[in-house]
Formats: sequence, structure tokens, C-alpha cells
Amino acid sequence: MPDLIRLRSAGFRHRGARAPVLKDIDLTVREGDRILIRGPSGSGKSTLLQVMAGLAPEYVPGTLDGIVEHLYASMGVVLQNPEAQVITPTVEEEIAFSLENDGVDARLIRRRTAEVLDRLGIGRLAARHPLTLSGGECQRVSLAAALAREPDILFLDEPTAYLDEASAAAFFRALEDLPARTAVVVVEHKIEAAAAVCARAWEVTPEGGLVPSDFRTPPPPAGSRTGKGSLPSETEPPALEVRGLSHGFEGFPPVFRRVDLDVRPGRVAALTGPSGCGKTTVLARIARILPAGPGSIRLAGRDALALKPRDFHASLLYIPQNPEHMFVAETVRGELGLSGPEALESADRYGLRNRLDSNPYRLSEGEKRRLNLCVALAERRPLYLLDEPTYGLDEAARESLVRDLGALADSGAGVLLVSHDEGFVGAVADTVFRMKDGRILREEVPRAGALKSA
Amino acid sequence: MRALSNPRNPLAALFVTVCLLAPVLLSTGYATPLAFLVLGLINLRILGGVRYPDYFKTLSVLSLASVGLFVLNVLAPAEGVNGPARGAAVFLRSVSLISLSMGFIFAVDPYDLVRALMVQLGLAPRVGFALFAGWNTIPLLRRDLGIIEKAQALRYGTRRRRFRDRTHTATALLAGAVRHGERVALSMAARGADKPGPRTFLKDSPWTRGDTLYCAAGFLAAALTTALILSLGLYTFDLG
Repeated sequence: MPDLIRLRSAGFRHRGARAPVLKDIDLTVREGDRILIRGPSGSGKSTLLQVMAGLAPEYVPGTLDGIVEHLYASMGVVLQNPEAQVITPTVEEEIAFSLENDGVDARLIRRRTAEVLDRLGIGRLAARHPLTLSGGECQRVSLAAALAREPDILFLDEPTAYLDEASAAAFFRALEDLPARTAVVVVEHKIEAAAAVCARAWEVTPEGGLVPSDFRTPPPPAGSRTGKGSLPSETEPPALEVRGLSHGFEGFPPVFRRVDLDVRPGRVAALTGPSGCGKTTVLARIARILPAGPGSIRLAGRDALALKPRDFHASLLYIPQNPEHMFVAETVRGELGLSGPEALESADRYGLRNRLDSNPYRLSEGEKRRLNLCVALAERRPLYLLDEPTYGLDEAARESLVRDLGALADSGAGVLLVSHDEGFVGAVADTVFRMKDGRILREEVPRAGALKSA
Repeated sequence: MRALSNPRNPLAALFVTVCLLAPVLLSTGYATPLAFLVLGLINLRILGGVRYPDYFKTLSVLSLASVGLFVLNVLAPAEGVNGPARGAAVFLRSVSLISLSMGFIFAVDPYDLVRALMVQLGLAPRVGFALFAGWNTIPLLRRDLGIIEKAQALRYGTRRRRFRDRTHTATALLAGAVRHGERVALSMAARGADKPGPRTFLKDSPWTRGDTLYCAAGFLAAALTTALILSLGLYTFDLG
């Protein structure tokens, strides 16, 4: 099998960084190879992929050392965030984009686009705007766009990070039909899903090196939430009580109808369901991001709609999917200081002591989430709403999050989180509300859960 | 606000719109804006694909600025100027300009316009598709703004939020926009947007004989109307 990529003593240092993120990397990718790249958050997996795809240092500023040989004729790339890959106004043009750049004749583009749409079962979406699709559909469009080029090698950078388990499995199933000669390099935290496609794995170490990894051995269970704290009195009103909540967007069928759910103080409830089922919309209705509609929302027994803004703001804390959306200060110290001395004192416990004078936007993804949790714990609100808290987190960070949310619940607060990370939900939640086809099913979870690999 | 479809090349629609706008810009009388307002509506009919209820709704909202100008001229006229007369002229002129500009916006899909600029006028595809991506970002930013405002308001809780604190909403929004832009740029590069050599287009933006005829007709209509207004002595241009 001919080589497609050769890295010899390769290293990469981001512009402005003191230390290289990658060093002394030796790797050969051959035709037909299926390789998984894994490693902790921020270890440089995506950077390695960008080096292999020829995007760094040209489009990712930094210094490249060693020998990097790109021997492939064509490549396809699928990135993590489906929304960030959308350029054109229709799915058909999105898939055609790379072929147009290659100067392929329009008739051939049309034929190849139709073929790949058909192969991935998304022909019905051809005329839709990609931003109107669900995350799973949008990511399949990105894969279709990469495959239309008939690439020698396919680079996938956490392509299922924003997808629920069923969509992630469907995404990897679509790769099973690839021609045998097509090499695939995947960066992925969802090891089990990627294992269906990959034959071998490499791990990027925290020091920036690359070592072979045995990804078929499941990791030991860890990070279970064991403490329950004091159970709330049954007469105490729920921290959150939602009855008959319905929502729809103009010109579209209802997203969900007559949803009921409740979160008791000291309990963690999870809202799960396939991508696009309306989980985040439920949170947005509770947090008043969306205007009021049919249904009632009660916070600690009080009608949320009747609450004055000041009282409403004191009743809950909303931690959005993007941790940066909560930042209100120029330094980590400023962020914590706003929530009082208790938050500053907890910086040690959350590994933020050395980052107190850093700009919060310059923290790693895991650090940003830990900062928000520090703030949340110090705020002492009766209810916490968290939207997809495990995005961008590796296994160690997810385990730590399970413990932290346990601590939040043990402090007597109710927690409602939206997540499609079933392993995480199983480990942290007391109650799971499953959304499907606009309805909701309640499930109580015995508290013996341990964090499973995503 | 995206146009349903229209058979004319967006650049032809742009040319005719400019032909209709120019005389109104250079006139301060009553006849010119009225005549070109009517011509503009005829042009919209020819272009097709306009959602008229949305068009008139937006026109009436934006025309409030014209009403303001009228009132201003009536209440505080310049020295030696007939306030109501000048106010009416200014009102008609601004309504006509708003109507003509909005007509173009409603009739032409922005993606089609950028595509036409790339195909017909050689706008660099890198720039053209960056404009596509920028247009796509608008609804995402709108969504993020709602989330940031609420998340930060809840973060402050009962604490007083000063004006300076509210600037952090803009910071978070801007940081998100910059990151989104970086990711889109990377995605474009990974898909060969900077590749040298000829580029093809799945959806072409051809210039047809119909477009040439449409441009000629638009130019002639504008020229003849202006000539007629001039010959009738109804044309006014007064900076005073």
C-alpha cells in the first residue's frame, strides 16, 4: 500500500504559545488505513489532524518542525461543529463546493452530488438550507461534501461531538461503505462508535507525543456520583415544575406538545432525546430566552411568568452550551470575585488557582466549564439549567463534571441538564426525561451509575 | 426576506434600480419621486418573486423616517423656505428612495447577487463565499445574542448590572463570531477554496439577451420619464 502521509520528528507550536503542542511525531498513513487519534482535551489531536491535512501552518498560524510529506492527491475534511462548515444556501451547493473549487465540469458535479446524496440517504434534503437541518443531518451533509471529492484520505475531527448516539452511530455506519483504498483518520472521544471503523489507534500524550493506543479495551468505570446528600422533604415544592409546555416556530409543526417535567431540590434530572427534538428549546422556554407560550412553569412553587425579573433572576442559573456566553469579566479572578469569596476559594479545588489572572476566553474548554461550575456552586441558586455540559470534554473532565454536579445537587439545588451523552446521563442523573416525537417519557435511575465511555 | 425567484440576472436588476434611483437623488420636486415610485413598482412587477405584504409592511415602517423629515420641515423650516412644501418634497423623495432600494433587496436573493458578482464581474470566490458565510452567520448571531443576554442577566441575579457590565454581552458575541469565522475559514480552505486555477459553478448566473433588453428598457424608461418631467417644467433641484 502506498504511503499517503509521512511525518518524521514533526512538531507544531501555535503562534504566541510558549511550548509546542506537538513534538517528535513519527507517523505514516497508508492507503486504506483507518486510524483513530485520541487523547485528553487540549492535547493537540485536532492540531495533528490539521498538520496532516495541510491546513497547519498555512491556515492555523504557528511553526511546523520536522518533515511532513503529503503524498495524497485529494482529501476530505469534516470538522466538529456542523454549523461552522456551512457556506452555501443549499445542501446541493454545499456538496458541490469542493468540486467547483477543483474546476470539475458542472454536469459531472451534478452527477456526483446526486450519487453521494443517494448513498447517504439525504436526497430529500438537496434543496434545503443546511442551517435549517438538525445537527445529525447537517453533519451528514458535511460528510457528503467530503466524499463527493472521492478523496484518497478523509480527515474527521470529532465529527459526532454535536450528535446524539443514534446520529453518531449512523454517521460512522455511513463510513463502512467507503472504498477500501480510502484512508480515514478520525479524532474522536466516542471510542466505541469510532471502533466500528478504525483498525488501529494512536494517542496524543499531554506532552505532545504520539504513542500507540489499545482502544478496544474499555476504560475502567469511574466517576460515579455516589453521594445523594440529604433527601428533600416530599412536602417541599419542586425546584422546577413544568406542565403542559408546548412550543412551535412560525411556519413549522410544533417542536413539542404538552411536556410535563419536574425537578426536586437536591436532585439531578436529565433531558435527553435525538438531535433536533427540542431539548434546548425546553430550556430556552424555562430560562425565558424564548417568549412565553402555552403551558405553565413554576419555580419553587411560584408561577415563573408572574415573577418580577429580579425575582426570576434570583431563582435560577442558566449555563449555556457555550461556556463563554456566561463570561462577564476580563479575568478569571474577576469572574469568581463577582460570585463572592467562596468562589475564589474554590479556585484551588477546580484547578484554576494558576489561571486567576488569565483572560477567561483563553482558558481550555475544560477550564472554561470548571470556571462556570465554580461560579454556579457559589451562587447558591435553587435551580440550575445546563445545556450540553459535556461538549468538548474528554473522559477525565466528564468524570470530574459528574462529581461537581453531584456537589451542586448535594447543596440542595435542583439541576436540569440537557445532554445526548448517555454515559454521562446514566452516571449523574436521578431522573431522565426522554423526548421523542414531541412527547416526553420519565425514567427513574437507581443511583449506582458509573460514567461509561461516550 | 429572501426573494422567491426571479428570472433576471441580479446585476441587471441592480443596473435598472440604479437608473431609477439616480433621477430621484438629483431632484427635490414632487413629480420626479412620484413618477419613479410608480416606475419602481412596475419594475418590481417585472422582476417578480416579491412578497408584497412584507414589502409594504417594511416600507410603511421605514417611511416613518420620511414622516419625521416632513414634520421637521414643517416645524422648523429654513429661513425663507415654505416649510410644508419643502417637507412634502422631502417626504416624497425619501419614500421613493426607500421604496426603490427596498424593492431591489426584496426582489434579489443576496446569494444570487454575490454569485452573479463572482461569475459575471470576477469577484474573487474567496471573497464571494466569505460573504455567503457572513450572511449565514446573521441568524446564528441573533440566536447567540438572546442566549448571552439571558445567561448574563441570570448570572448577575439580583446584583445591580451597570452599563459597563452590559458591554460583556458584546464581547461574548464578538468572541463567538470570531471563532465561527475562523472555523468557516478553515472549512473553506479544507475544501479547496484557495486552490489556484479555474473554478466552475454548479449554479451559473448567466447573462441572457433578456437581461440586456431589460437593462435597455429600464434605462430608456428612466431617461424618457426624466426628459418628460424636464419638458413639462416639473423638474426641480434646489439645494437651498
